[in-house]
Amino acid sequence: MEHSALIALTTIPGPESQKAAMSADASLAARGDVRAFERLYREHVARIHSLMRRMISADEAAEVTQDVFVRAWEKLGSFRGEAAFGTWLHRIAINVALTRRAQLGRRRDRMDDDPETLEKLETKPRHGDLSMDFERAIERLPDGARQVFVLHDIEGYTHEEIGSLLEVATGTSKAQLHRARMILRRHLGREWESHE
Amino acid sequence: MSMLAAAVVAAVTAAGHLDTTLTVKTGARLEVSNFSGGVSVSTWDKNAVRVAADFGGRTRVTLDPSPTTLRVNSEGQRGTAGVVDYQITMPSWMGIEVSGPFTDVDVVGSRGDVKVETVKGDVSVNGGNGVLELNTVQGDIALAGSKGRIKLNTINGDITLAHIMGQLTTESVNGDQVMDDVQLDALESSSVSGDLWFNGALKSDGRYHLQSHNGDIDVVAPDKPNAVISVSTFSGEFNSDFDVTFTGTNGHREMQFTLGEGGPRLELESFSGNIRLLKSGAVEALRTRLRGQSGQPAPKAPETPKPPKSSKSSKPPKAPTPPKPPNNED
Amino acid sequence: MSDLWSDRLSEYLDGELATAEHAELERHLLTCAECARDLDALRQVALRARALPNAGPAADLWPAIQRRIARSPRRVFALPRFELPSHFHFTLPQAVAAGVALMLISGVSVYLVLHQMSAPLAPARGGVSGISRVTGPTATLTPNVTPAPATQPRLREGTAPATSSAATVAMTGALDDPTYDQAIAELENTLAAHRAELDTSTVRIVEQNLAIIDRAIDQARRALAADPASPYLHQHLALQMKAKLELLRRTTALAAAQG
Repeated sequence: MEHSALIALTTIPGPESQKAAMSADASLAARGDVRAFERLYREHVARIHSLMRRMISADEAAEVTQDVFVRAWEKLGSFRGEAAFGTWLHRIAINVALTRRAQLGRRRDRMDDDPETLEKLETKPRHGDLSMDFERAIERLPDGARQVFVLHDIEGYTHEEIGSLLEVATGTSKAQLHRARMILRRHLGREWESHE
Repeated sequence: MSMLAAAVVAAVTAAGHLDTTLTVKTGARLEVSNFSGGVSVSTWDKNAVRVAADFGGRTRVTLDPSPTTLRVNSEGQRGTAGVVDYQITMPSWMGIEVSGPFTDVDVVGSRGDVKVETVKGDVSVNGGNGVLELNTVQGDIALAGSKGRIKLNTINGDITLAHIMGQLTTESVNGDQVMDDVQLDALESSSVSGDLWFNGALKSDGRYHLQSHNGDIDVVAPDKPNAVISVSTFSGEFNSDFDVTFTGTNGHREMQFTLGEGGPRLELESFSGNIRLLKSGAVEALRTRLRGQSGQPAPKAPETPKPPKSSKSSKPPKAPTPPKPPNNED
Repeated sequence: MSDLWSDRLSEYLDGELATAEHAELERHLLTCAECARDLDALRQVALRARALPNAGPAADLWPAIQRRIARSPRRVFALPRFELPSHFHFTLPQAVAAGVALMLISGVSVYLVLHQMSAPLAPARGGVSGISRVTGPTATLTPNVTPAPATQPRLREGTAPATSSAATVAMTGALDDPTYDQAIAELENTLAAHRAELDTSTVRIVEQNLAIIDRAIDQARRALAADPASPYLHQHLALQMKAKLELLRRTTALAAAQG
């Protein structure tokens, strides 16, 4: 079952692209226009896919992105335009990611404090595409730190909102964010590297 | 006087750990409802139920005894319950029912009824005597050392059975079924695309029906088998290690033949899969293959019930590890 | 890196420290080069995160999405203030009950009838491996169409034969059964209405398995069309149809339970 209660709790900073053309497509798609839904898909897939990749894993991102759009299609009947389509879609994506994570997270500490995991990550990155190194470093963060980092620094949620979504205390969220940033600073790239 | 001890309703509101023991009287049943997590059940000789649970915030575990049933529930304080891992020890005579969509379940040492209903969980039962019904959608089912009227149903998972007696019905859509060392009075095994593998006794008045659409069917017969066998297939092949002389075919893809003195009825049907009747030498090869696939030993017979530490079953679906104490700040 | 302030740097960066603590950390930064360096790195991480580009998947997902949404009928009554007449809208318990009843009547009794149609087989000729087609007298089919009681779908032997016209009805039941189709359609509609209450991976698994069963049904139908007198093929088709009904019924019940 989804975290449907969370939709009411959180407000999400909407993307800036809220053009009139988009809402027309959303209305059409809500009435069953598959072409219009395809246009919406093309417009939003990059963002949703990146979110899923960062919150779940690279391996599963494509599959889960599909799930998000299929779920959006099913729910479009109840979309009343109360938020921009992109915002509404984003909420569905977050719900899908968190539900999936809740299922997979059983018997595994969600906030992984294992020092060995942290040490494995704190190594100097190879040279190469710096932004790919950074993305990969995000994917390799311990689970709890990664969720918080993605939701706070990339998606713009507050710690209070994250606390609700992940069912942790605000203090935990802050600590995990700090941990994530401290690990990731080594993967900023040569010109930003800080030396111990 | 009620059958169970005075009502204990434990409502724990913070993240934490529950560990409580209630006495029960013979004949009581246990029902566990858990949304997500694990339910790991072992048995002892006492007339008491011990419930230990680890869970996060916003989740409540309630224990609700009635004269006949002890109910253990995970509840969310707001919306759905969070992950709860249960370690339960119950009398071996106790019947148990576990349900929950995202819950793995394992039960070891039961000598009573076992019923499990889950969507995305694996189910593993070592023991059980009476009515056993295990249902999952995505998960695997493993069962060993059981006896009774047994019904197993999974959509997408595998079914692995060993040392089973009684009447068995197994259904899967996309999962394989392995029935090793079984002594059944009756068998109904069906799958759409899964393979079926059967190595078991054929009782003289037994009826064994294995049916698949495009899965293969392998049946291992004893060295001097007695059986009346019918084989039906549309586009598959039939091969036999034994010499067979067809006693009948209706020209529509159904063949009948008798091995030895006849007696047990064996009906093997696969629309497009291959059907094989094998000699017992095939068994070791299969067990080796199964070990290789799952990385775990093939199902073993159960030992006598262990004392109530988390006794794990040794079968393909791994038993859940005991939960670590939560270390979030909460 | 072990002074008291280093753990609070992120909060400082995000403006989450209380005024007094904020001021204290600021004073500390003037004297602690390490913290100042760390703060700068944290700032870069946060900026980099904000500027991360979004990348779509390597392959185009649209074809797969389109296939999946084509399978799920869009609820016509999703539009505001539009309601279908009540006789089109089956409640979940009714649809489930209808599904169960129809499964028992159409699927299982067809199966029973056809089993009893397997009259004594003609003796085999030719080889003993593979399937040997026998050209000989066709077995006489003396079916019995007494429906079994709904609760006890087991084979019954030795019942009296019925007329051949009844046999025709029973035989074509599996190939073209409007009551079955209706049960399937009702369950699919109800499932579509409640599908959103299931988690997405279960939905995906169910869809995959429905596709597996549909393929099996299709293959069985074609085989039966080419060989309509085969009891095995009739029975096999009936079993696959029953499997589909059962899967839909079970999934619909799950969705309702989680709603």
